[in-house]
This record gives sequence, C-alpha cells and structure tokens, in this order.
Amino acid sequence: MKHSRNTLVRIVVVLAALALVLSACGSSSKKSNGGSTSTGPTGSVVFGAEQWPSCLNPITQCANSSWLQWLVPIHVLPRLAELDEKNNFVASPLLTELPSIDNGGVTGAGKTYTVTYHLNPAAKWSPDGTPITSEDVKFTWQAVLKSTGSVTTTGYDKISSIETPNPQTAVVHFTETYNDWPDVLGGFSGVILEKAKFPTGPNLGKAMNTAIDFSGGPWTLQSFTKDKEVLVANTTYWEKSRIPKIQTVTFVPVTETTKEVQAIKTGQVSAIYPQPATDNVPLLKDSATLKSIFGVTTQYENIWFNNKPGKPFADKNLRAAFSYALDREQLLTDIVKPFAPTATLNQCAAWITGVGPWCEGTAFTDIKPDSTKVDSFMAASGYAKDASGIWAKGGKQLVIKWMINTGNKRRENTQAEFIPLLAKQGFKLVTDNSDSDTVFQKRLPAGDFDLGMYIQVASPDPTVTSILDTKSIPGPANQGQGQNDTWYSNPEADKLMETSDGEQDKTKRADLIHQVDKVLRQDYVNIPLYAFPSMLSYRTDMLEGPLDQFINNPESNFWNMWAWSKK
Amino acid sequence: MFRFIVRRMLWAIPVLIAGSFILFVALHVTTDPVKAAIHHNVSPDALIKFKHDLGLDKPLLEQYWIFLSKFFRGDFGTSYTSGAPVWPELRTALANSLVLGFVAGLFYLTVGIAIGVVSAVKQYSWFDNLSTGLSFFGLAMPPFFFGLVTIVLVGTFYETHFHSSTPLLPFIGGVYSPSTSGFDLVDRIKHLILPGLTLSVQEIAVYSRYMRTGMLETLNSDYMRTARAKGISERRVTLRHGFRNALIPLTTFAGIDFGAVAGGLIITESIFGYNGMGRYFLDNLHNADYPMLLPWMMVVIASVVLFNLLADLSYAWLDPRIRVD
Repeated sequence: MKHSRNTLVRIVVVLAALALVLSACGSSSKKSNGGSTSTGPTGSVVFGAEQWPSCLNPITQCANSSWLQWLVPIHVLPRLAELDEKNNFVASPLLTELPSIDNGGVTGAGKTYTVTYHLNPAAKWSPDGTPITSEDVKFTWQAVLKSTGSVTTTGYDKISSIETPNPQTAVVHFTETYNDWPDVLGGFSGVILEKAKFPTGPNLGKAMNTAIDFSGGPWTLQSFTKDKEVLVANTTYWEKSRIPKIQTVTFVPVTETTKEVQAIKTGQVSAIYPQPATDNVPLLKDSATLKSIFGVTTQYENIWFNNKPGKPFADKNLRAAFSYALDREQLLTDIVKPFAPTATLNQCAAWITGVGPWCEGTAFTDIKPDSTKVDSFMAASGYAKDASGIWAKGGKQLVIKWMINTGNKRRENTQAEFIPLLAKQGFKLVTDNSDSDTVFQKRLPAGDFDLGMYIQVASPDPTVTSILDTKSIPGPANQGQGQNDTWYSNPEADKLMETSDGEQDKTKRADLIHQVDKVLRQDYVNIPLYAFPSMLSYRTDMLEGPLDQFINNPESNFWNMWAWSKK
Repeated sequence: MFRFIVRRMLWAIPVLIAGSFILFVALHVTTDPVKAAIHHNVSPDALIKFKHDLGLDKPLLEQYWIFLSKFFRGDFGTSYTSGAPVWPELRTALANSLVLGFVAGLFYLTVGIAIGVVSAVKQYSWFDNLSTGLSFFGLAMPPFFFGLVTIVLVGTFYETHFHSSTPLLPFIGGVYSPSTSGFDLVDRIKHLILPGLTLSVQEIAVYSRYMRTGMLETLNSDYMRTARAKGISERRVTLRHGFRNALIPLTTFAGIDFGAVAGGLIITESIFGYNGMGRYFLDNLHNADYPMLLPWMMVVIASVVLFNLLADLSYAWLDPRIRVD
C-alpha cells in the first residue's frame, strides 16, 4: 500500500513539474522594454478586439480582416491619401497636399492619366530615421502586384509605371482614367512599406507574420501574439499633433459577446468597438462608468430585387408595388432600432449620407406604404387578387422566394415579421434561405433568387458601375466575374454611371451620381433600409478625448487614438 | 514490455499515415483555401497564379506525398495565410493545451474518483444521493454555458456583491494578463482556473459515475469477501483491493480522454481565448490553411496512439495478472 501511494505521489509530482515546464514553453509573451519614461506619452490602456487576425501582412490574405487594419496598419504604417472623419479623401501627413486637378497633381485622361504625389520631406521611418521616399512608394506598388497571395490588386493593376524623379516626388501613371486613385497606396487599406526592410525583393508573401519592425505612423508595434498586441507611442513621429498622449496601448481578443461585455463592465478593457446586436446593446447601456456611442459604418442593408429575365421582379410594376407595400419605418423600428437606437432610413439606392456628397438623401423619401399604389401597379401588370386574397395572374398565384443567409437573426426576424404583413397586402412570400457561402458565392452570382436582403459597402469613391452596370451582369463577356447580381440594366443609368466614372470634378461627379440615384429610384432598383451602425463603448473613468470622432469612418474609432488620454 | 512498446510504436506509423490521409482528403473535400483567401472580384488569371504559388494545382496524391515526405523529415512547412513556419505556433498551442489538460485532468480525476469511491462505499447515503444528483447536473451542463456563467460570476457579479473594483479572477488575455510580460507563474495559474473548472464540470460527473460503478462491482466481488474473511481491515480492503481494481476500466477511458486533449478543447479554449490546439484548429480551419491543419492532425493522431499505449501499460501496473507482452 505504501509503495502504491508513493508511486502515485511521484506521478502527481512529475505531472505537475511537466505542466510547469510546458507552461514556460507555452509562454508566448515577450519581454516589454517598458517604453519611454520621458515626458510626453504616459500610462497604458487595454482595448478589446472582437476578431483577431492570424498574421500582420497588410497586403496578403492577412488583410482580409477589417480588424487587422484597425489593429495595426492604420496605427503603424503611412499611406498617401487618408480619410477624414466625414469620409473625404485628404492628404495624410506623408503628403504635402492631396493631388487634384487644381494643383496640377491629377492630369490627363485615358492612357495619359497621371497622379503626382509630393511627399513630406519631414517624413521619416522609425526607428532608423531614414526619409520615406518615392522609392518606398514604388516598391509597395510592386509588392502588392508580386507578393504571393496578394489580397487584392484592384487599382494597382491599372498602374503602368511609377516615376521617381526625386525622393519626394512619385509620379503614378495609370493605364486608363482611374478616379479611385486615392484608394491605391492609401485610403482605407492602402499602405506604404519601407523598401530597405525587404532586401530580397517585392514578393512579401512570407513577410510580416507577427512583427512589423518599422513605423511611419503615430505608433510602433512592440509585439503581436495570439493573445495580445502592444503598441507604443512613436515619439519621433514627424506630425507632432499626432504624437500619442498614451504611452502604451494593448489590444486583447475578446471574441465572445458575454466576455466582451464583462471585460468592459469590469474595467478589464477600457474600450471596445463591438458590432451592435440585440444581445449586446441592452447590456452596454450608459452607466456611471460606461458610455456607448452609435455611429454608422459605410455598409448599408437593402432589399434587392432580382431583375433577371424570367424572374417576377423583372417586371418594374411589381417592383414598384412591392416597394409601396413594405413598411420601411416599421422594419427600422422593430428590427433595427433594438440594436441601433439612432438608426435612420437610408434614402439612396447605393450610397449613404455619411460617406461623401454622393447621397442627397431625397430620392427614396416617397417610398412609403400606399395600398392604392400597390393595387394600381399590380393591376397595370395584369395581376388581380384571387379568392384567398393573393395576387395572381392567369389563374396562377404569384409566389415570391425571399432569400437570406441562414443564421442571421436580424434577417430571419425580418422575414418572420414581414411575410405575414405582406401577405395581408396580397404578396405571398416564402423563405428560400441558404447558408452564407451558398448565398454569396453561388446563388447571388447565379441570380438564383427573387428577393434578397443583404449588405453592400458604400466606398468613399461613389462608383457603382461594378454592381449596377449592364456590362457587370455575370456572363461570358466578363468571364462570369461580373458583380451585378441583380441583373439591373438601364442604358440611361449605364451612360450616367460611365460618365460619372470618368468625371474628375467632384462637384460635377456628385451631380451625375445624384442623377443616377434618381434613375435607380424611377426603376425601383431596390428598397433602401439603413446604414449599418457602428458602436463604441468605453469607460468614462479610464479614457477621455475625442473618442467618437471617427465612429463613422471605416478606419474604426481607434484611428485617432493618438488624441485619446488616460484618465 | 520493451518489445510491446516498440511493436505499438511501429503500428502507430501506418495508423498515422492512414489517419492523416483520410483527414487530408476530408479537408480537401470540405474546405477550399482559395475561396477562403480570395475576394469575389479576382480575375481567373490571378486565381490560377494563386493556386500555383501554393501548389494547389498539383494532383491530390502528389500534394499529400509532398506534405508527408516533408513532415517525416521534420519540415512542417509554412502557413498559406501568413507564410509563417508552422512548428513554432503548433508547439505553443500544443504546450498550452497540454498544460490545461494536465492541470484540469489532475483536478477532475482526483475529485471525480474521490466522489465515486465515497459514493460506492457509502451507497445510498445522503452523500451518494447528493453526488448522484449533482453528477446529473454536471453532465447536463454544457461547457460553453458554464464557461460564460463563470465569467459573469467572477466579473460583474463578484464586483457588485463583494464591492470589489476588480474581478475575482482574470478572464481575458488568454494565458496571461495583458499587463504581464514574460513568464509569471502566479498569473499563469490564475488564467488556468476558469478554463480548468469549465473543462472539469462534466468530467467530474463522468468520472465519479464510472468510479462509483466500478467500485460497487469490485466491492461486491468474491475476492473482496475472501479478503474480508481473512480479517483484513475494511479500509485496506477498500483501497488496496477494491480501489485498484476499479481503476482498470477507468484507465481506458482516461487514456482516450487525455489523447483527445492534445487535439484541443475547442469550446473551452474559444470562450477564454486560450491559445491552445482547439483555437489553433478553429482559426486555421476558417482559413482552410492546410499546412497548418495537417501537422495538427498528425499530432492529434500521435497523441491518441501514445495515450492509448500509456493506458495499456498502466493496466499491467494496476493488475500484475495482465501481461502486456
């Protein structure tokens, strides 16, 4: 017995020792250098991140995640153009001014289209202090094109060459007029990389996995692991107004809603940027130490009609009747406001008021419930209600298949509430849902739906040619890659969209976009609902400053955390 | 004994190959790294280049052979997603999962077995009835729910009811608190408590039921009556003869259980953001990152084989009548 007990004790001791050894091996934390102790930035804060990227490379698949942008590149890497709090393109601190037609920075048209950037002579890489030059700009363009697994080459593949007449001038030649040039090497996801750090050339497919050891932004990346990211104030940043007030910012993953709520409520983290939903908004109400602010993202959710020939909504009268049957206000109140109390109805087909001057906010204001118009439009297309009160033509009931992605509670709740309501107006809708992959990868591109409810992104550049132009309808001409999944086609809209894409004067372009919006409204292209909300929750006893200044910005509210202070 | 171990280790090789091939095919059938990585608007030429760069344009068998030959040479490859070498990340995740598994395992085995023994010895007593009721409660408690409840309890509930400004236990930061730099044993242990408890709640219920049943069988067997008739004390009869024999069926279950730990405790690790094999698997499955997933599978298969071998060996230790060779 004694022998057995001793053996058991030995096993327990050995296992405990093994656990401790493994514990040390498993440690992925890195030693902190403690940061600067000089005057200037002070203190440290912890923020929560809802998603956690698996790697840091800003030009490969790692950059597929918005949270990668929000955690690292926007704080550490310089860019050419950037977005202000109203989502207008402006010059970043790397530029002396934003190129424009007026200042001669944007010239030519077609194959002679050229954008000339003048770099700020004060701009320097940290920590080595070397200037950021046009060679870095050229190298980054090549890296985007040549890196294995580059996440997108859109725009970069329209550059024919980049001239570098001097270190502070980069002349970018495009193969065609390209109005969205600010999104290339800038905008939301474009960055500039330090050429000297990559002596093996521009294929950066295996670079920047867990470290970016140079900075041209307000912060430097001290460490990045599966458990946390540590950013330290870059006190040598040339734009003095953006030198952070906080010394160290640590981001930690809080990917589960309950945990995220507990983390902010108990002060384990000082701020979170959650996706608002019915399971977190009620728990994050304002209190003595907690404040939640709502904004809008650049994403908007609409109900989209499938105009594909043979589908019911190829009939414009049916689109019109359905538009006047659905109560958008009720949908907003019952479905959206529980998680986005400040949400308002969007009144543009493919733009939102928070992003540039493109949405006038008037085109769809008359789309309100109106049973007289419903009856009138349905009658115009030869429909009449049958004995059961459902619209029918030629003795056949109209049955509309409503597609959403399964698991999306918001959309499922919409179907559950509005299918019975619409039935009272004679529309027989049936759910026709699939998983996300099937909806977005297969059924939408194949036009296999009658009615859809999904989100699109309103880019700061207002072009919608890729989603609404006739040439973008998937087919042999575009090798099936077109993204006009609703098969909308109107030569008048095509002409306006194409003219707008070539117009370089912002005011004239805005006017053209407003005209497009009016045509889209006349065609009842879709039913605009709302811009998807953004949300910031922070501890009022821990943080102060302009925390919500960029809440409507795709860069997230963390973009200007250089201006935040620790209480 | 030595020959038995060598034989079992050799048998493990075809098991590894067969298992990895089945899973390799399953992964290719159910996931697509190109779809996971590439945006909707990528041109067909770019897709072809992407596949070529990653070697995905080669025949399936060739891809498998390339992986296998590299793996057995110690070259675990690099991630499709990040381009980072696989081994350092896998090593960290494995070590973290084993730590959690061993610590939680020691806890739930000790508690579960102790409850089972006492329940059997004091059959139909208030303790037996209470432990039986609690075990059903534990069995019915989903780990994801229990994990979230523990977070609320040590978080806002504790702060509110105990007038504290900090949570009772940390629940963010994974294996360390965000402010910790380097190895810190106390912080490390604190971060093991909640995931360990979450992992243990069902396991204690399971092991206590197994142990109770095993003990009742042995306590009522003929050789136990013989031992008592010889005048051996009840305590010695229970612990030396009953307990030891009742452990044998439990050993098989524990071997399988511990083998599975190396595969990761997916739910527990996900809830607590614990950087272990479960989270490793989920992250890489989402990206369809084959080079990251295939070595994970090899480690899981190897650990199942290893722990089953250890279970077999422990039979001999528990019951000398069993000869492994």
